[in-house]
Amino acid sequence: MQLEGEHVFKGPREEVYAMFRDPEVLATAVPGAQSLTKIDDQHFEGAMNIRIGPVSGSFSGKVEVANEVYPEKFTLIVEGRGAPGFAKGMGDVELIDQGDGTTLLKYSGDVQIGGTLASVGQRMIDSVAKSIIKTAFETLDKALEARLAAKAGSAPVEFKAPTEAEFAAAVTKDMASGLSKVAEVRMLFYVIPLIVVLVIVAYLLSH
Amino acid sequence: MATTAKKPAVMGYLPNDVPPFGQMVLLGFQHVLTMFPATVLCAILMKFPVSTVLTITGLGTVVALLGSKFAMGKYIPLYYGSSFSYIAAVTAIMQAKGVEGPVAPPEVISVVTAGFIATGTINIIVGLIIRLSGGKEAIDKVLPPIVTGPVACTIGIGLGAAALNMSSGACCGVTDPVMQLKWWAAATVTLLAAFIFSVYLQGKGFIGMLPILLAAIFGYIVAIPLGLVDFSNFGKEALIRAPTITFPVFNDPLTATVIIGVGIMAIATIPESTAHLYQISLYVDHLAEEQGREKYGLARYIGLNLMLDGLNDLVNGLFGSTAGTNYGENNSLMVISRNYSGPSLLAAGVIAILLGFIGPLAEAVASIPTAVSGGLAIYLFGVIGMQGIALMMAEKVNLYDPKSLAIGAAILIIGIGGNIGFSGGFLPIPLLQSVFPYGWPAIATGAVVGIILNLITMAWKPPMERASVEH
Repeated sequence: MQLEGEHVFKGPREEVYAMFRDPEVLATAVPGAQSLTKIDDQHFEGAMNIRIGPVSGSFSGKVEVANEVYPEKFTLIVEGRGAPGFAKGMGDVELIDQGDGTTLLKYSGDVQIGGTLASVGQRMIDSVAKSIIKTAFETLDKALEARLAAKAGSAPVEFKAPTEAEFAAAVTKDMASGLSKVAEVRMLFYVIPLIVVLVIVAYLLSH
Repeated sequence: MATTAKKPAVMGYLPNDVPPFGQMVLLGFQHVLTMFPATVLCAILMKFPVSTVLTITGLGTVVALLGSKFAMGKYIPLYYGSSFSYIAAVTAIMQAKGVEGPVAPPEVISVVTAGFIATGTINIIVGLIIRLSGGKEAIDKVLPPIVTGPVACTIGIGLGAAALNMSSGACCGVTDPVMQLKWWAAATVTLLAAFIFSVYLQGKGFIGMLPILLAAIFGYIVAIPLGLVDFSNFGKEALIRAPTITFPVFNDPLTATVIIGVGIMAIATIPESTAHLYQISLYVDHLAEEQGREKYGLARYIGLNLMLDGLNDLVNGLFGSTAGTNYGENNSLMVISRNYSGPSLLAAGVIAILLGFIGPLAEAVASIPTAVSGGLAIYLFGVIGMQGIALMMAEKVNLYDPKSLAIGAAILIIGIGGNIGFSGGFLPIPLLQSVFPYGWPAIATGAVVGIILNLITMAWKPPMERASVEH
């Protein structure tokens, strides 16, 4: 599955880069992540709990940071394994200084999914992956705000990572809106009311 | 192609194109002429009121087209006429009910249409299952082009005898040699006219999109001096008539039999409908490419297509008409005329609805001699078969490998041989008689055999595959 997208952070590029290299922040950003332990500067290990529709379980995973060019770009290599299946992915992250104190993040990557996880269907995985990324960026936005505030010495901004339940709710909502874009599901919205009307019309005309 | 630039611009309509009103009426009427003979014949053979069947199949087509537009923003351009697959099952029920005369009473029709509700529901459920199981990727494994291509061929070529029966008069008990020659003359002239209009009017603007309508008019005029147009049938119908609407009933002692016997025929229409979708998708995208416009990729919507098929059956069942199927001959018409416009099919649906209400209009269309329809049928049924071959060519099916040859061979012989050689297209296989009391439907049996052979080669990999020869 190809993933691609961009996000604007309201902060300078160096600060955004530093945030990405802080395992504590990353652990809060990845929904359901319980811990992220630093092995060395480039390698991390962690565990996360995920509950998505019919699939739930804990994953243990490894994260590797490669091809670092401070503060412009790096590559993330992620590997997760658990009872519901496995996920392997590689993504290039690029940070572009927009010159107005904001940073444009561009990412593109490829994720492979196997096991029970893959059986939930490509489209559902697509919308879950997008949902995870969206939630992660929202959390990172808040984390960045908190870091910048702490640095400036002003009143600390309260920063709290979303709970697993909040995340599950967000994913479910995104999935529902993703599902309503599936032609066959939209078709049901057409068929069911139409059949009700036609049954009434046909019944009246025939009696 | 390097020569394309010198040729006149390709005139054609893609599914979402809306032709001007006048063109839409003519193109719609051409669709009506194409579906008319088969739909009326089905209604007569199943003893349903013809006016109801015309109106409700038109309504079903409109409902299905609007459904595809609503669900995915694009029309799937198909016309839904009444299906031949149900004739044997329905005839058996009519006999069990002791129906005499040309049209069955409403209380019997209500019992039969419960079966159409069943077949419609099965189609919708199968469509949803296909979507859930992974859509086109999953279906491509079960129904690859080496299966759908030959299935499309069997549908068209399997109708070959029907086209010749119509052309020769054998359909209608003509035995007098002079009369037979007149039938052949009308059929041949019509076929020749359709050939000339479709080949030589290309690039001449809108008129090039009406070859079948023009050929029908030409054949009709030629048939008048041959004495094949029966003018005595004019003026019998009321100017305005109301089609009989019958609502299905589910509390008859025969209901369970009807639901199983008629519902099971969904097996026959599912591979057929999928093959039709693949064909039309191929040709729509070809026109899109010629015109340098965005492709439609309709073949992806297999699940949706079956749901539309099922919805159309439900409409027909609810209003007392015969179960339908998307018509291969209308696909052929679209391919020949390069008019895939959904709105022109909507116009056809509306005209069909009106035919049920306006007696003289239906009489005029019905007065087209069978021999003229037969001449057109040679072309239209044959093109269904040609589209199956095109499907295999487009998908680069390797016709040098025994695997593909065997799968195609089995489908073609069982489907075409069975459809032409045995009464009603039912193979005399005395197994599973509770499900198939009249024998096994040949086209569906051929399709299933092809699917099984293909699945065997997937489970048990052949040691080698003969290379395809590149030119």
